Amino acid sequence: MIYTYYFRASGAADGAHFFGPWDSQISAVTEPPGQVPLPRDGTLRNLRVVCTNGVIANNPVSFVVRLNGVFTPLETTIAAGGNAGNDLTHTAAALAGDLLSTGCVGGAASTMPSFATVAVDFETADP
Amino acid sequence: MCCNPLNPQPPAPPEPVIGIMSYYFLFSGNASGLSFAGPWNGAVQSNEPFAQVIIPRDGVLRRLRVRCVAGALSGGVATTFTARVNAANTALAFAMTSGTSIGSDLVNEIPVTAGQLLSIGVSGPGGATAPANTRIFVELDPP
Repeated sequence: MIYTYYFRASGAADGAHFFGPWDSQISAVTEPPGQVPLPRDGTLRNLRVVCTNGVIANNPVSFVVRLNGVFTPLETTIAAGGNAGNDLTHTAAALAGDLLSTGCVGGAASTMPSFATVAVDFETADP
Repeated sequence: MCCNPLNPQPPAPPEPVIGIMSYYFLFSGNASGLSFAGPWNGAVQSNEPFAQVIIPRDGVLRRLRVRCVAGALSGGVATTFTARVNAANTALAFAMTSGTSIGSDLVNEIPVTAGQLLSIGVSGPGGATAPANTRIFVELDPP
């Protein structure tokens, strides 16, 4: 079964920031508010990001899937002036109970518009 | 069709089942003009980009449903609910009359591709009003 998790990002992207799940319109420098527990063992793949009303400003921003507070290889970088990116190549294995979050890392003064919609697929073994 | 009994091949692993995604949107209040329901519990938006979510895979949008959970539409005029893709109306839409609280479009289907943006437009003439917690659902099925 494939399920899609959504996150929502906006605002400052200098250094590391973390996004709220679903409609939570937050981007924070602390990660826990943006973490959701995974219900089953599975594989994360297909990271997609679209800034819906503007572009990345000043410096590139890398959007990354994280598990238990650690970066995974599932990552896409959007250059300044760009508004969309994806990683349809890398995967990350996850276990039930792992904490999923998405974050970004940008350079000095990197800024996202309001908002970016972020989606990542979670594929589990069928029951 | 299969197999050489002297050289059995292991069965191929099953393909993952691509399930139905259900999207939830929330709307309340003034529905005159064109505004946009907030995804999940998000606030109603007059600016559509704030209400768009990315579509994760190719598929078909269908089964647009509206349920007013705290009253009925009011204002004496109809309110139209429309699934929009990349900020354009689609045929997946229906109008609900004032005084009703449940409606759906279970007929029209909209093919979509990964990366497109989904939103729900809510529109009506002056006076159109939706009660608080008007819930809108739409499904993304496998192609």
